[in-house]
Amino acid sequence: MGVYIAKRLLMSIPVLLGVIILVFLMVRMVPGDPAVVMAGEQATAEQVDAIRAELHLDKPLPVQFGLFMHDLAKGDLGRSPRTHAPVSEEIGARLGNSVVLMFTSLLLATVIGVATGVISAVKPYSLFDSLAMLVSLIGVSMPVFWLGLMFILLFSVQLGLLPAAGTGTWLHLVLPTVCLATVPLAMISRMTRSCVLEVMGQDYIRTARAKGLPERVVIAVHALKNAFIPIITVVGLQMGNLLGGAVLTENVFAWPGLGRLMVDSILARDYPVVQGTVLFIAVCFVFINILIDVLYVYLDARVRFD
Amino acid sequence: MTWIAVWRQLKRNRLALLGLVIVAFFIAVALFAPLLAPHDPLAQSIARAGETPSAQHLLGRDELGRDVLSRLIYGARISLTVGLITVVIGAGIGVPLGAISGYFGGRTDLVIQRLIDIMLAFPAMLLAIVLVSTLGVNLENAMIAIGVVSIPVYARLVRGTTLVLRDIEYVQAARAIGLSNAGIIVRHIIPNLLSPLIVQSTLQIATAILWAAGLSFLGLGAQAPTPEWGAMLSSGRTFIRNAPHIVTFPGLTIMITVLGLNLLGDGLRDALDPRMKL
Repeated sequence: MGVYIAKRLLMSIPVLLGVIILVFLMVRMVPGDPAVVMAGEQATAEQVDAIRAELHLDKPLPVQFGLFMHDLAKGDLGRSPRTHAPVSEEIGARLGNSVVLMFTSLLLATVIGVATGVISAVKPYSLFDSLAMLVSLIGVSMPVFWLGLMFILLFSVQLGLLPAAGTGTWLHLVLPTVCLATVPLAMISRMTRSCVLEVMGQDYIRTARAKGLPERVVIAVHALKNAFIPIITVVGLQMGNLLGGAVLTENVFAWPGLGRLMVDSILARDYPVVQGTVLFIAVCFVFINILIDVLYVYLDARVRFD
Repeated sequence: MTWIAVWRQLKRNRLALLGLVIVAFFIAVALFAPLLAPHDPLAQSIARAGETPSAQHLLGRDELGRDVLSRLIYGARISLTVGLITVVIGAGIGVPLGAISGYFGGRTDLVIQRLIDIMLAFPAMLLAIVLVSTLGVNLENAMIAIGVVSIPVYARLVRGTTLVLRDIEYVQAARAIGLSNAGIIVRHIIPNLLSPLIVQSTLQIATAILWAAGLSFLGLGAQAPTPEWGAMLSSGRTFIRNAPHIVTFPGLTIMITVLGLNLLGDGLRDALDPRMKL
């Protein structure tokens, strides 16, 4: 197991390096002179020069990359020319909010998704199954940001039950969580249904039934246990959806997280923050995927370590 | 499998038929927008901004007094264009890349797969956002970004099938009689990929429309006064308290269109090959 983890980490090095190079280049390929763009229209020549010097934009590209990697190794992502705060501080201030939102959404999506998926699989083609199927189809076809606006319209404007924006109490968390959970919930529910259905057709389920076990035990012990591994994989695969959806959800509900920081920085042409946030999220995503792979191997003895 | 057989399969699936009807309607609206739109989608009338639905303006007026229905009808053109262009970019680059990767294998395969790994190291929506910010914020660049982000999906799909096909007897026979590698890929490999590619592209158009609307909503896609569905939601959201119809209808339109494409895509998959895993 230790060897597998080490191997998996080593394998991720070229990908991580590629990600760093890609993000580094993308920010420097902005049309026009990045220093001028960042300084804004009213900036003096001195201000532009100051930004150029601070970001080393006056040096050749390979030298810039060397300096960038050198700073990165120290955890230094540069400073925002807009707020003058270190990018790492800007990220740190919003990371917690994003993590909380994603965690609650994933939890909600997994619990409800697995539950509806199992119920659907136990009674396939029943009314519940058809309804769940329809709802999840609509769920993946809806723009999450529009769903968010409709939530605000109904629960905040019309009923006045829940706050429409910002953070503070756990009530603030309700609408963004449900909104962000929609797509993963639909996917998890559909996959759980097909995984459990597949398991239910296996010989050992017939054996379990034949020896007189109550259906409840057959499903809970024999079916769910074996459907668990593919379900874990699907839950893991939702991380990408969750990170992407968070950008939109945070924007709708004015949730001060990383996604909103990134979009605001893009619109304000604050490229050091864009670069830092994107890099941070992409690196997290790479490690989350490694974690899921490791978990998968750990849970399924049939997957070999090599 | 002939198209008649596919149609016969599709006809039995009610949800897929519903999807087909929605998609056909969407395409017709996009094509005949100037004939169907009751008003000019850009004509403003500030004095009558935010008016609720009436006989003259079936879906009401937006925050600048423009006719919401007419804007939605013209918006279909934009969404259809987005869907088609992103699929052309994604498939146009992804299919050859996947075919080359799977057919030649070895070092070529390794290099292409590592590049794809790097693209997949980003959550897809995030990569699209970053690409747009690099290229410049407008609808054309949003289409390019979404197209580029969908390259890995096509490349992976085509590579997998090509790996199987290249060792099949008739491909070996084609090689034996001296057909060039390019000839084999174009004549024997790509035609066999048609079914999964059609299914994938239908679903991809749905995704592209959702993402383009998302980018426009964030201010990273279509800009005012373009009647793009996501941009309409973005500019109307401030008026959600007093004129909720401005944000309700564009979202419903997106949902129905995307649902139609998803239903059709699922139905086509079942009709073309039930074992196909996408």
